[in-house]
Amino acid sequence: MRLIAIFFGLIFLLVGFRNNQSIELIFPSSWPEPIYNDDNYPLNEQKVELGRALFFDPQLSSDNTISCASCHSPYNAFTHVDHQLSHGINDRIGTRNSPAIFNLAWQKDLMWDGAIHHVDAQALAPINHPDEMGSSINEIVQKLNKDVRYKKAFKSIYSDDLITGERVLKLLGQFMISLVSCDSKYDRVMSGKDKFDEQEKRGYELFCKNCSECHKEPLFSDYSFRNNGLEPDPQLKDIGRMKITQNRMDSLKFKVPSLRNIEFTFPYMHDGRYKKLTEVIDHYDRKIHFSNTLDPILEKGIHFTTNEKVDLVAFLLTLTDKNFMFAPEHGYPKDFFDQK
Amino acid sequence: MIRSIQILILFFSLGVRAQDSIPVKVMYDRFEIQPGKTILFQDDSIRIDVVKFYLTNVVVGGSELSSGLLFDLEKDQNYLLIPISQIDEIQFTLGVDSLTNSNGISGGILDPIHGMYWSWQSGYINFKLEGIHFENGIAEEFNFHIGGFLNGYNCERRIQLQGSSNVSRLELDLYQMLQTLSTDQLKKIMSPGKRAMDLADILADSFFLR
Ligand code: HEC
Ligand code: HEC
Repeated sequence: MRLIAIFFGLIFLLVGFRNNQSIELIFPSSWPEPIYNDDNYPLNEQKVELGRALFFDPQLSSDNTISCASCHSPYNAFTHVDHQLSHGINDRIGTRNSPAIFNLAWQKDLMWDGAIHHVDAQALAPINHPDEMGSSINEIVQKLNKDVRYKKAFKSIYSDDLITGERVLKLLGQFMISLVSCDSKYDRVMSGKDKFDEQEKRGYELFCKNCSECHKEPLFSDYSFRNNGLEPDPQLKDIGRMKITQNRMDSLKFKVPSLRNIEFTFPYMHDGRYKKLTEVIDHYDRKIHFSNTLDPILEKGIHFTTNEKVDLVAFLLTLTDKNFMFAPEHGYPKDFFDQK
Repeated sequence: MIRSIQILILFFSLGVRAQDSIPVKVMYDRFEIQPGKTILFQDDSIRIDVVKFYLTNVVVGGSELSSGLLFDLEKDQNYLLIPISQIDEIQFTLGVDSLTNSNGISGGILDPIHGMYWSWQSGYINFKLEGIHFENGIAEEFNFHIGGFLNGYNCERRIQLQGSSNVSRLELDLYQMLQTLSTDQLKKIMSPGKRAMDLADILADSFFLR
């Protein structure tokens, strides 16, 4: 009897250890603490790995052609390039530009209008959207339950091989939370490991003076909702944050995006209207559209000389984090998909 | 050893026997609603296709039940398992409380595969009612998806009912809710807001122990 108890105890311990490869987010000590509370669901290496497989798996769309990565490619800091508005199944076009995905652990609200309040709920939006993946979590769970590769992986994480909606969504959440971009030239300069050149330094000063109120360091966003003076597109009629709060004061406000990896996350703005950084700076310089909810900081525009514009762009390029974009642990999980 | 196991088994089976179930029914006035069947409504008729809602954090006889209920008209049976056979008082939340909502996704009856989670904006749908209103020969669909917990529009409702000695079921009477169809208000409520709050109030007053 006692032997049996010891035996079971041992198995329990082994299983416990195997499932306990918890990982911590690594970020500079000068950063604020993440908002994501992982007490309920600590990050775990195996879960992050499996979440990555789901992220790259086109089975998540109704016709098995589109994965999350189709619109959020790691080589573009997890956004979609060359299209203004994201393309989904059957080449349907959505109404907004896909944002880059990183440092989600520091964000309270997701989406341009903050429609989503929790990273684990995020995947439901594209999965159900008829112009994006056109599927449902129910359909996906049924498909995955027939896939031996997932059965095996779930079994090794959860001790049973049941694939549920809750598990799928939380795994995707784990992968996305694990994406931290904090190794740009800017970060190395801040930690004293590198130096800005003269131009970048002038650009940084201009940035601190004119932009950092909203694009706040070190995340390069304060993640608030603001109207930065874009003229509303009469066709898209996107009222932004007001759709969620139903408050007129939130009309035309959108979430301030992070400017990390901005070199690669074009096109810019919620509707992807600008292709180049110089166009964005021109916007702040002389295209500010006045409306009731325009952020007071921008009432007079932010004006730059031609040289200053070049300096500012030079600084923005120091926010590129190639180590993040090309990290093998963020790329297509070939090993997982190649198993028989 | 064997003896003590026997005693244990006896103990557990007694525990199970002391449990009871109380059926949950959806009514229109005094008639039980059947999925897809037409009911007379004022001078016209209504067909109800979907009724789905959450009853959570249920407290009976002073103790909280281990699980709530996702009522679904399509299911043959909908019932709450209760620890005692007689109900003096029952308390429950219609919908999903805001703490659970703010923690993101849950499992079991709260797994989003049950179609009770919003996708374009997050949060559980507390209550769904869908069907067709036939009026003067015109068929008009109605969809009420009641939910939301943020921005001052929290649709969860705590309900407390007193029982009597012979309670046999918990009823939701849709009479008041359906009367809103004869007003000229919107027949599609799919997002959180003031109207959802008003309908949640009506629903909160529509539960009865019989
Ligand atoms: C068809 C393109 C497309 C697909 C496929 C897609 N997304 Fe997105 N994603 C978008 C767009 C567009 C937005 C912004 C939508 C908005 O703000 O309304 C977005 C927003 C997001 C955000 C919010 C980021 C932020 O900073 O607010 C996350 C996280 C995300 N998607 C994750 C996913 C996951 C996980 C999947 C796979 C289940 C996925 N996406 C599939 C286009 C897509
Ligand atoms: C008042 C707050 C505010 C200030 C000041 C501000 N921005 Fe922005 N910025 C925003 C908001 C809000 C958006 C998103 C707008 C949208 O898409 O509707 C944005 C978007 C951007 C984008 C596009 C990012 C993307 O991923 O699409 C860039 C680049 C940018 N800003 C650069 C700057 C620069 C450079 C400055 C200083 C010259 C600056 N911003 C000043 C609020 C601000």
